[in-house]
Amino acid sequence: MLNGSITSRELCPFFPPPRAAAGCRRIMQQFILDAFVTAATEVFETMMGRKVVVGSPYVVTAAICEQDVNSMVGLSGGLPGNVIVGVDRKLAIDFTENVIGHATDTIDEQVIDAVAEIANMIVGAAKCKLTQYKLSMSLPSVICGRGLTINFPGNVRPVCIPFDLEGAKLSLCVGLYDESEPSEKCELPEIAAKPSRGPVLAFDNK
Amino acid sequence: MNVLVVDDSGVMRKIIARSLGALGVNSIEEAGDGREALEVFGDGSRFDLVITDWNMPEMNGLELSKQIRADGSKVPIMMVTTESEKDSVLKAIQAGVNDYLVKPFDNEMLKLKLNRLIKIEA
Repeated sequence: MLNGSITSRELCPFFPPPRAAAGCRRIMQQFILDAFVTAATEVFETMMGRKVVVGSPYVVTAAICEQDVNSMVGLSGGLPGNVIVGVDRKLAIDFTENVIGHATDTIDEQVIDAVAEIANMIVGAAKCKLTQYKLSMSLPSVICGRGLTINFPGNVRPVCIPFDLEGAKLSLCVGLYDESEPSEKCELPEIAAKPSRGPVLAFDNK
Repeated sequence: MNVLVVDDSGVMRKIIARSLGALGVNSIEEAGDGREALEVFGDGSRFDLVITDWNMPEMNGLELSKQIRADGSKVPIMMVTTESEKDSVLKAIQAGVNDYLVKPFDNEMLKLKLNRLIKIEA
């Protein structure tokens, strides 16, 4: 057991309990997901003073960029993979205006940089809650537009977590390879990737 | 008060500069990495405070802090970073960093840290 003394409830009390419905697939340990949920909540509550409501997480076979601006950060170390932070247009613009005073109604360079920084802070804060994995993170990349399909390596079961920030939308897609014992992993419902008209981006971290 | 803000993220530099502005600090110079910061810093005599990120290309904030101390400057240095592990804080202190602010932060926290550093300087 990697960290038997810490439960997901202690780390993140608002995170929905694991579900064990028929047909569920085993995924990474819940405290790993909780680290990202807590980090995302901290970033938006601290930087914007927004109330953050966490939705129900689900497993996907491939991640569809469902938000207007999506920033991806790679992780290496004990949990290799990628984390995608997606924000809708409203949240991207509101955040940029809130933190640097840049008022705009378009997704411009400042907004893109701000979303990259959101991802950097969320993944950075989560990384610090997962020190036992000795993680290193890449610089964030930003993908603008909805519908791009991101395929992960076959050994990764990405988990998507939706958030509501007073009407604005945030989504996290955590696709990390957890090498720990399957018996320690939580179970979540799996949602097949929706057909996408957009291009497909594939990762292979072997 | 003249502050050097070092971060490879232009947005984060603006966030810090905006926070400093709200606290009445309007003389701010910026650099995008440690190497550029050393060029801007010069002999350091015109700066009252250096605020630096940790993870940056070319030269990181830890190396920048070590170099500033190696050059003999006693300017207060504040590290602003997502690196919050105990080992990271210890490394920063050993490199000559005076205070440490973990991202994400709000203006109140930055104000508290700044007041403390200004007192150190006095």
